[in-house]
Amino acid sequence: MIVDTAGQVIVDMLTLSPSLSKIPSASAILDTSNFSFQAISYGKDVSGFNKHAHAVYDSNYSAIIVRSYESVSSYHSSAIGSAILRYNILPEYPDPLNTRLEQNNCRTVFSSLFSGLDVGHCANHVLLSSYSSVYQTLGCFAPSGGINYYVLSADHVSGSLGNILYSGTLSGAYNKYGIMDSSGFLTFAPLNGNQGRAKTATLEFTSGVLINLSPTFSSTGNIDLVWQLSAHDAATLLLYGGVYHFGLWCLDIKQMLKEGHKPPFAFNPLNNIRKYRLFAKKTFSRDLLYLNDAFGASAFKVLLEGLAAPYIAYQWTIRFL
Amino acid sequence: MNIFDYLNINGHVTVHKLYDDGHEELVYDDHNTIVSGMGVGLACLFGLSGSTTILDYQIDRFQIGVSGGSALEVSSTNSLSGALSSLEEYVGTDGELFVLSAHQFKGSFVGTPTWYAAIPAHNITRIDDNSVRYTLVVDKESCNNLRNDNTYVNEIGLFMRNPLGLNPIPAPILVAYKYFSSIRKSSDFALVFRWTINF
Repeated sequence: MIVDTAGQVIVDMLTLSPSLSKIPSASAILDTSNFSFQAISYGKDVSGFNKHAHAVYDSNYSAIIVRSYESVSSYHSSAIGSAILRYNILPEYPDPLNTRLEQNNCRTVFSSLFSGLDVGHCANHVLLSSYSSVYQTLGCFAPSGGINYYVLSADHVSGSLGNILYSGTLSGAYNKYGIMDSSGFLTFAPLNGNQGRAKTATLEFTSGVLINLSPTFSSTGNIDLVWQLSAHDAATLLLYGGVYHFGLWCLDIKQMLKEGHKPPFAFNPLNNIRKYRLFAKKTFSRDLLYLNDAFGASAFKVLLEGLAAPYIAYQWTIRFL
Repeated sequence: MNIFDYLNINGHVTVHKLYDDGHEELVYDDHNTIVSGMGVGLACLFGLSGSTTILDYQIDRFQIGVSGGSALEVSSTNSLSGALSSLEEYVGTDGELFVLSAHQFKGSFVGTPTWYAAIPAHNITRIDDNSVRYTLVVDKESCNNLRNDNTYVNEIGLFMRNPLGLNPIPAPILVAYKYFSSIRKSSDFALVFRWTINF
């Protein structure tokens, strides 16, 4: 769904003063990229931010710890949801007035010890030094250097992992390549050469989301946005409750100018000055990462090790004609 | 569904005669037609496949014509049926419109140079978060010198400056069109079009 704030981006563009072109220090505001797509985000139901791996913290382990309520060796966020008393997974329905993926408070609060960011979607707490000892509970993406995970068959008891169904190490690709900021915004690849006509070779995804225009673009007006979710990032998201939303974001130029930032508004994962405005959201009633065990193989292991390619590729088409 | 369906992009035009004594007479009031050129322009912007400056995506000019029709009020329309074709028709000897010549992108090709009237930046107004109003003023002395005495203005179109980023020959593209009841323009009054587009 294209939301109303997309219209605001267009009206911002149409009413920008042409006189800015005569002011050297301000003319960069007129660059097209300031008004085009700049980020993708992943979201889930608001309750999920305090369930799944968000619900376990053990200072003895710097690891993602989660209890599976299933006997199978996969992790189904929906099945887990129904097994937890009074927790029904229900992502917020899309509304044209939405300004973020979930409108209600998405802050992970672990008793009175600590709480995380509330950005309406899955944040990337590992990048913030203030969360360095608790990021494994806040989620939702793995550090590039890796983090252990433990899926338990019974409730966790502090200081003891108990009965481990399966475990391993997850290393985040988004953090390895520095293409996602702490608020969970996966940036678009910078342009080089032909504008918008980025190639889809695997290695080029390491710089972010690509705009991939088909040869029929001039007649269809379809813009394909393509990006990858690495197997390890997918598994991490799964342990934190799955993926039920995608968000597509443009820059919020007015907010950045108000805060004193000047163009070009460069992306920096560690200290991102960029402010974003929602352009479109896509909501799914079922976890996009839902996988079943089959033929005796663990779905979770298949996700990590058995995929033909070590990533899931997504394509989102926006139609203009 | 495309972006127009989701955002319900639409527009509204009112046409007024403005007399010397300040009296304003509303002579037309209706919705407009957003044509496919708007989609082309926005696709170029968000696909980063057109111009690199935002100024080329702005609606900064309009044309007036004399042979419009309701059949043209469809999304596939890419030009006016009978746009004024000379400087003389637009401004005669005393008209105050700022008129400029440029090519025009017409669906799949760039047409020959034609005349446009510029929309001054101060006549482009944001009226709320999702709406922009273009106030097009055809002064008393403009558009009076038409082809013959039986010629009436009855169509108008808004143009995006050069979304495809064509260089060195920029090509504006029609983004909104309106056919209205015929008006014999004279030096007795100015015509004011208030055109609001909601995104």
